[in-house]
Amino acid sequence: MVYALQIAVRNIRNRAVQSLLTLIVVALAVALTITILVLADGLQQGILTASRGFGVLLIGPKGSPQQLALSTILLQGAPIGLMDQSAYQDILAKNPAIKIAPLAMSDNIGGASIIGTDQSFFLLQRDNNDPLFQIAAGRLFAGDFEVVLGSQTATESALKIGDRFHPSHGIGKGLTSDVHTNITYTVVGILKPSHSPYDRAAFATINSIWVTHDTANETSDPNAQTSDASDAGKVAPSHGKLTAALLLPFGIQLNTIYTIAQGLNNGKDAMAVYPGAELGNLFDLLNQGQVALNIVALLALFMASITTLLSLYATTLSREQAIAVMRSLGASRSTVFMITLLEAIGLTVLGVLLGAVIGHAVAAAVGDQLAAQSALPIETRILWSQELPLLLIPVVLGVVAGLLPAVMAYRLNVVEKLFAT
Amino acid sequence: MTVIRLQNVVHTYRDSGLSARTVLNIPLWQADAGEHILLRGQSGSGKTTLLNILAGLLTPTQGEVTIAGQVINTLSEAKRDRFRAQHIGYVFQTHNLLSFSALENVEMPLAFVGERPALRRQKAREALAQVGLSDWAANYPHQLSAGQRLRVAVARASVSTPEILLADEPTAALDPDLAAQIMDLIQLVCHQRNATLIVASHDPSIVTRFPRIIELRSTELIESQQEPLRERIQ
Repeated sequence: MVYALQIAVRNIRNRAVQSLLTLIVVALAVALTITILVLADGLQQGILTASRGFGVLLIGPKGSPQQLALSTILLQGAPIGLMDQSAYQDILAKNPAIKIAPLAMSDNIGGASIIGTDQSFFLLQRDNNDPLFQIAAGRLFAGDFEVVLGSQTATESALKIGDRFHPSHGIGKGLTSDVHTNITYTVVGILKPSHSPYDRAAFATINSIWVTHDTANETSDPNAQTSDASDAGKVAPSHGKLTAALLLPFGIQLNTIYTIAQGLNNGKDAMAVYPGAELGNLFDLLNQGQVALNIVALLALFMASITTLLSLYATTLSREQAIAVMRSLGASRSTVFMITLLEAIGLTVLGVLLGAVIGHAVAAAVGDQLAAQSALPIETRILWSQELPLLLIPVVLGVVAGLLPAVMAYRLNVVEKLFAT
Repeated sequence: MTVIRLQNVVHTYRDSGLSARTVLNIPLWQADAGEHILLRGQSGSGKTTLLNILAGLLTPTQGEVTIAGQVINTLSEAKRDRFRAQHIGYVFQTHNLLSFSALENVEMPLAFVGERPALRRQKAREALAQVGLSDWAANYPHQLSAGQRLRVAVARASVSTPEILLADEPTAALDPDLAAQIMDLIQLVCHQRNATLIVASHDPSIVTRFPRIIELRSTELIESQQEPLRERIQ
């Protein structure tokens, strides 16, 4: 067995180019599978981490609940529209103990959303009751056009406390022509990393957002007006308008939350969605996509196995003389069978190991890129319990692919091959 | 001491089960240890078939083949493979070396019978030394000359100290000088091991080397005797 393995390794080395090509095909198929698995997990975990602590109820204008959750909690995509702040004033009046953090977003600094809110937003807590947002330098805003930068925004923009800037209109990096040149923000604070998309945001009073867009609407600033009117993805919250609001989980009973949600959803001005439920729906969507990708990955694995089969089949055909010589030197049928099968297993196992390494490297690189773009804390990890069974599939397919050439070697007519001429 | 004994050996080839052609019909034939025998016969007379039967690569249609006291045609194929690796050396018309180093080629028969790596390496080195290729052990077949490749093949056939060594047209593709060198080597190796040598050949230049000549004619084995030229092999 040991000698059969040695011969198999030597055979693989002797046809280096063919072995390398087979190895690459197997490795790429495995890498694709691993990348999909690991990246999907990283994304899911990132979304979970990012969404922790963002209130119990999300209030927003009527529209797509999922897009509301995406644009508000994960800061992905444009807000779905505007709602009047009065939509939830009745709730506050009836339940004075509860807190609702208003949110208005429509501008950005270097692609980072400037979010109008109030100090209650900074009361949000993680599951362990630690504050979600903490000041790293400076202070929270105290007046209009004072801005607090998320940690990633501070790093990317290189703005320091005391620096000033003009905001750009729209969510995400816009054109120079979209700059609100008549509005100037002053940086007063920088937050510690919260490991949420809000690290790539900036915070100001809600009135700052309102004033910005009231001014834009009143003045004849042709750039701002044109942009607002021409881009459906951009909203311009004027006075009293919000893109969303977060019901904070303080001093509120579960049944009260249900009552509030029901009340809002029965009305025509706003809707209430449960962030957890919407993210669950998002995961369902992601899972559906992953299932489709898994099928593609499985097909790739089958194709890799067929490549292995073709490679070994061709090799066995070209090596019939050598197999016959080994038989004449005393190798049994089972020995030449094992040699051929071990070649298939060796190539597949090497391909699987290489593919796993490539898959993790690609997943990590893509995850980092996605994290940089989305500010989602996407971290990839080794998923032993899922990867090991998955990696067994190509190994089993490799063994199956090796069986036909191995049987050919087993059944080889030694005399015919040795004395063919 | 008798090393090879063929009794009532008949071998028949069948084509698609319809026509049958008997190529061997040997009532009794035997050879002693250390004999050097030339096997002659026209093309298609059954020389290679006889060698393959003696090597255990073919089983005769009927009869009994005894090598070194063991009836080999009744052994299972796996046991016959193992027996061949231990007791029979075979030098082919072409060197039939594998794409491994000379040393690895030579140690192969020992590896197939489970010899320990260190011991088989040592024996393979000794066999290579005997054919004058100590310095070429690490070379691959494509790095060796035609003569060197045949020497490696001889070392491989003799490494397990076989009781019999079979050679099928070993000089067919060689120039006369090289043919003489290879035959010298094969006979020397067999002489040192007291192995029975059977060479199947058409080559008239090697006839005088053999004290015993047998010829396959119309399925039968015809004996002829001549004086040995011992000086050629000592």
